[in-house]
Amino acid sequence: MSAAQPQPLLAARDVGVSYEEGKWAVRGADLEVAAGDAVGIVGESGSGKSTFARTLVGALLPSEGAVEVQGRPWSEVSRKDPQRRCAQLIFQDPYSALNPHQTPIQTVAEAIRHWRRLDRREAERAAAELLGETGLSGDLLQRRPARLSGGQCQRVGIARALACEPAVLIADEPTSALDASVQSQILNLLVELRQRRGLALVLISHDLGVVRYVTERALVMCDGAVVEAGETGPMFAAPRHPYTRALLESLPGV
Amino acid sequence: MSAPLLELEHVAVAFGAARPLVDVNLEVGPGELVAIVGETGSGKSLSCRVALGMTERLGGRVVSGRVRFRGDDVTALGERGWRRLRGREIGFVPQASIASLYPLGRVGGQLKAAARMLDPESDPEERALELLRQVHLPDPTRVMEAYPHELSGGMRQRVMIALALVGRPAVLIADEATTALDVTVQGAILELLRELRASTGMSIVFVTHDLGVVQELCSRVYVMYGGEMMEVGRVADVMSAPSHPYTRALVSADVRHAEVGVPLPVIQGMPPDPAHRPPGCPFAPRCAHALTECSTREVVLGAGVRTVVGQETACWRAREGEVLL
Repeated sequence: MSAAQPQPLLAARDVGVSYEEGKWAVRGADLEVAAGDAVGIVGESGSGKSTFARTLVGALLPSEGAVEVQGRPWSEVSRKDPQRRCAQLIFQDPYSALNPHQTPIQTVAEAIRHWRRLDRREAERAAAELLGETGLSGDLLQRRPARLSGGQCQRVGIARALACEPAVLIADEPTSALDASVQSQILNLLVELRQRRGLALVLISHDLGVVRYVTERALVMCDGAVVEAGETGPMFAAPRHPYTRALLESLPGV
Repeated sequence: MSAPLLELEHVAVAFGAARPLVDVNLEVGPGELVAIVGETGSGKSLSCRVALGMTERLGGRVVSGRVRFRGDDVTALGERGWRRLRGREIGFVPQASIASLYPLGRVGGQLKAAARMLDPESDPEERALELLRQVHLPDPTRVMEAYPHELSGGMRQRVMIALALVGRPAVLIADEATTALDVTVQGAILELLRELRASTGMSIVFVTHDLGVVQELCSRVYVMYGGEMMEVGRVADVMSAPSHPYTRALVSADVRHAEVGVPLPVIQGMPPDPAHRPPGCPFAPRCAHALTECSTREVVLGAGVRTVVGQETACWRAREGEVLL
């Protein structure tokens, strides 16, 4: 794990999120993410996994506890602070996560120019390069999202996240809306990016098969609490918590 | 197998110049649990609509092939004729989404309206309660008073199954009925479908993109791609020894059986555009095993291509009995 790492990239300590007095969407959640880690967060609808993910990228400040990014709590990191770039989110629905009026080039170039002083042409060149790295090229770069497939839109979302040069990618159900054959392409891409760029991955998914394949550690969340945590392989082979066991047993066809 | 209840024979459907269905075959016997598996755009949902007599309503046209129910040719049956079948003989369960139920009506009201129309002999209130019990919704009297948004996804799916059962159909068509649900809820819905089939003897056509669910529930499976059936056979055979290159690619892309650290096999390219279909086999442009004749000569299910274990396959290579690796 991250014992040798002096400072983790992300450290969530005792994170609690409450949207409503007396009700906790997440409570007592801990997680450390070091460079190059691959961590899974598993749970069903309403388990709090997406809420927890939002606190990890600093999109949501916890009501209790804190998430530190490279040693500083998100509450102290302003919108324009370069440290904002450390963690980027990839969304479940690749269509609605993109501006329907922007082409992939425009979407990614805009993200690049948010952080770097480049003129439009330079930014578009850099955007084309990033999109190429995620597997998009040619006339696809000039199409609106409506004329791209779900898998292609997800590649745009990943390129946009990379435009911020993050150290951690947090992917919230990145393949749930995709067909199996497209899912395998996107999972291959995430694994490749982790290897090539040394990125850390936090993968949020209800799909234990996906989490088993991609991650080395995992948390299981249920009703806002982390009920089990450990190395993914051993945990799935011998789950200790009854909820983890129930999830594994209801996995169809295995 | 005894005489099939529902049959689609080489059905082709056109929407203007587009041909979303080119050659669809389906045979559903009494009490059978049949799966149609395919990816987005393969034509599986449209095939369901054809079996429900809804092609014209959607703006399409059956241009060739036959649809039969209990042996009768219903291909050219008008809307009035279909109304005697739809909901009564052939029930339909759509994907569990909030949009599938009328949002402004209480569950009880919607069930009673369906009962008045499809089961006029019954007392609507009694029938509605009986159906809610049959799909194991706890506290049926309370559920009757609820609006759809007050129920969980799993409960709504049970309500939709109850609605499909009002007319006591002989065949239930379930289109991605467990897709949007959590795994534990999905498991419970599959269990309910198995139980309903055992207690009522109805047949179920289960349409899904999820191979795992197919294995869990069904005995036979049709694999669809590009508006055609690529392969049909017993689920266990098709999963363990897929004979069509597309099925093979689909099965091997399944992450649940993948070895960690080894890249997942992928299918290069994109599915065919129904408005610009390539000649020959729709999978040929993406197929690693394609021969020249694959992209020139149409190959369809029922052309006599049959593998050793009894799968029927729309593939010239399978006909030659070669082992494809």
